[in-house]
Amino acid sequence: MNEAPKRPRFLLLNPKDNVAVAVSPLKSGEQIEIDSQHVTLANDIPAGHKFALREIGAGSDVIKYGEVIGKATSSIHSGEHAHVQNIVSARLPGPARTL
Amino acid sequence: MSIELAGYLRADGRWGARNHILVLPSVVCSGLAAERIAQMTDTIHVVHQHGCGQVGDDVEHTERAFFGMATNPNVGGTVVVSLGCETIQGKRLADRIARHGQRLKFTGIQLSGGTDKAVDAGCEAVAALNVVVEQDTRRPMPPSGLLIGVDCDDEHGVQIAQALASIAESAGAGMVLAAAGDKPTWSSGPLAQAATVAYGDSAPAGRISIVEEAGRGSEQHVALAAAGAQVLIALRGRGRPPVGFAICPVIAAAGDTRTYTALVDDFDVDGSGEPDTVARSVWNRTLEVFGGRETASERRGARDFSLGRLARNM
Amino acid sequence: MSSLELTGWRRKSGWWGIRNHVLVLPTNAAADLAAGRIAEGMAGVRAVAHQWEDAGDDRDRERILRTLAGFSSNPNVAVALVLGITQDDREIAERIAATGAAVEFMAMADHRGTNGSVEAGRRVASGLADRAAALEREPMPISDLILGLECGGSDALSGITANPALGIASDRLVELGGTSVLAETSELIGAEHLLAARAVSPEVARRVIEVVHAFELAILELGVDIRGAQPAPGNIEGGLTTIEEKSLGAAKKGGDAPVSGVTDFAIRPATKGLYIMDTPGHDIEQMTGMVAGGCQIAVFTTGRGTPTGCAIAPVIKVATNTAIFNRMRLDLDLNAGAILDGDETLPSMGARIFDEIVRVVNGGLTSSERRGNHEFAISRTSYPVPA
Repeated sequence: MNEAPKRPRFLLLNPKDNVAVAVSPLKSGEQIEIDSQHVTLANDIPAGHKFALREIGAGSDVIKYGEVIGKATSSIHSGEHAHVQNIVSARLPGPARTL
Repeated sequence: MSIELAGYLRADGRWGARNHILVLPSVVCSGLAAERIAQMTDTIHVVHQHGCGQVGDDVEHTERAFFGMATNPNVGGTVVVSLGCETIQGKRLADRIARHGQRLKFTGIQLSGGTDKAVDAGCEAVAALNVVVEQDTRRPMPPSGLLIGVDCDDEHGVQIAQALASIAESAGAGMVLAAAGDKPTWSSGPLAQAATVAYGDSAPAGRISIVEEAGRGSEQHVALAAAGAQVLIALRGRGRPPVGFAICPVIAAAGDTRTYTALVDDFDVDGSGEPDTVARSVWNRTLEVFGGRETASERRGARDFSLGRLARNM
Repeated sequence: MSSLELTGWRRKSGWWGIRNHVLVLPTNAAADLAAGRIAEGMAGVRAVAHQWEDAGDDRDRERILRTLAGFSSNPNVAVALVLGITQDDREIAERIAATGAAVEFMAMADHRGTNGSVEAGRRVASGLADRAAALEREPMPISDLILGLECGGSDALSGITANPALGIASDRLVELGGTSVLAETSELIGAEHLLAARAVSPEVARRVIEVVHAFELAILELGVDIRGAQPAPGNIEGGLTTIEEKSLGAAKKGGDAPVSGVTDFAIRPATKGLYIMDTPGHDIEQMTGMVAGGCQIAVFTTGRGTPTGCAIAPVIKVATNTAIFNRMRLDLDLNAGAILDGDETLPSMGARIFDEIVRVVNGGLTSSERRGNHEFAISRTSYPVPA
């Protein structure tokens, strides 16, 4: 039986990336396998949002599309939701964001 | 001199000269939906190019303008139409308006599922508001309830404004003047004692005041409306055509007779004469207009809305 | 694959239009109401409105004038009816005429104001619409097509589905000798090095970097936190975290084609190929600038859902995801979310977009045309407006 192609639930856009994109909403605790890496989600990830594939140290580059999309403002652990609460633009930072 | 006027008393204690339902898009992208809602329900809408890609103080400045429009005492109820993704968040604006005590309904295009659904929801919102708004009636209003809004382009206009300020003061009425930059200074007369009103704040009742940073040209109409003015007096400079305003009657005074004659259907008075005489004539017209007499702008159904900004779009 | 036979109207300027509108253009905010009423309910007649009052010394005067004149000289306009205040108010009409475009002029002062102008204007517009209707389409070279690329209400999928698919369609147009315009300079911050690397010359590469850095500098000089504008709240909800991330996704609309040049707001590309136009990210300012710069058609990708279009140019709306496509079906045209559903691949979606461009060029209507969208905006670089 031919199966219809399954809708991906997450995407790795470039092998250099240290974040992946959730295409569907993902649940905390889920075990993800990407590009032979294993990641356990530490948070719920809304559709379209990113999660870290490995530890990203505070001040380190966040890589998506194979390019720098910003800097981590605090350490982002593997499987954590990576978004405005822990990533800031490297180009146009504004006033420090408080959580 | 005593004046006898009747107006609509609003929840915030201010008085209206009209009882409009306003359909206000919080962003340029919801303008067409607002237009369609207003066309189908015979209410007032505005169309503008703002609300997207704004930064810094410019965001609050624009929100104050929208808030001021929606809560102006000429407005009996407002429907805010938003898109959803924009910088000036429609829902936040709607909540702010409702907290003020204004009758408010909200619809969003992305929330509703597209333009048609938003238009349907908007029309229902108008119908719901109408039930209450059409119950409003005029009642006798003290002179201090009158707040005229004046903008002028040149020195001749300033002189007329000074004369109007004297008349308003003697009548116990309020007047708010729009200044393009910082509050200008006068050495004498009622304008010298004028209070300063920040953009978007209510002007004090029964007093002469000036809105700072009110923008240029007909952008000043919004500043005056946001201060709570019910009737606007546009003292246009030489050669300048009149621009109306969506929620306030505008008495347009031409700066020269040639322009007045050329655009006679769109002006209300020839303002080129002696300032005291023009002021007296405009004042008398203002009282009639407050009570319901249509200005040229209302006769033609003017829906103009020009917003002054503080920064470019991103 | 569709037949590549395009048709259009060849204008006296030598430019080709794919629509045949009469456009009523107010020179001044005071003429907006009359212009709108002249066009109201009249088949083949469109109008736009704006809040400019030409008040002498204005740093953006040239930018605004060339936007108004350029929009009215777009070859989709068979003839422009410029509505001025007095007979002296002819500057915009003269600029339109200088391009070779057809233009008529009316002054409100000759008709006592709005109502008289509407009455007279409707008679004039009706005659112009008849004149336009007598013009015929002819076979049009695809190399005369200028495609505007736009994204609005972006989400994280914009850079994954719709924008790359559009990039494929854009590359195909460029290969065939046509022109694509990539804009939204604020949404190239973080991706400019990738575009500069594809520039046809070191001079163009320098211009790409210069234009993006100039915008960035303008933002820094304002001393504001750009977050909330770029990315906007909807972008952030949709998963976009920073301006760079948004830009890397936005730049994909330009595909992989070499970058032939950079133009200023509302200025027509000097040659064929992929161009970058310096515009804000504001959806309507950008669309207005691209059309004023000669784009006859635009493809507009959206993740959160945008209902806008353009008064004189067809705008093809492409959803980034199936959920929004279904939700806002009547405001949209194509669904790139099908790529994630497994119903399309990037190449097949790119081909689908290209086929739709051809269909629309040849007269097929878009959802925004059916709706009668007429958004328009002047663009300013400086505030406040001097007296």
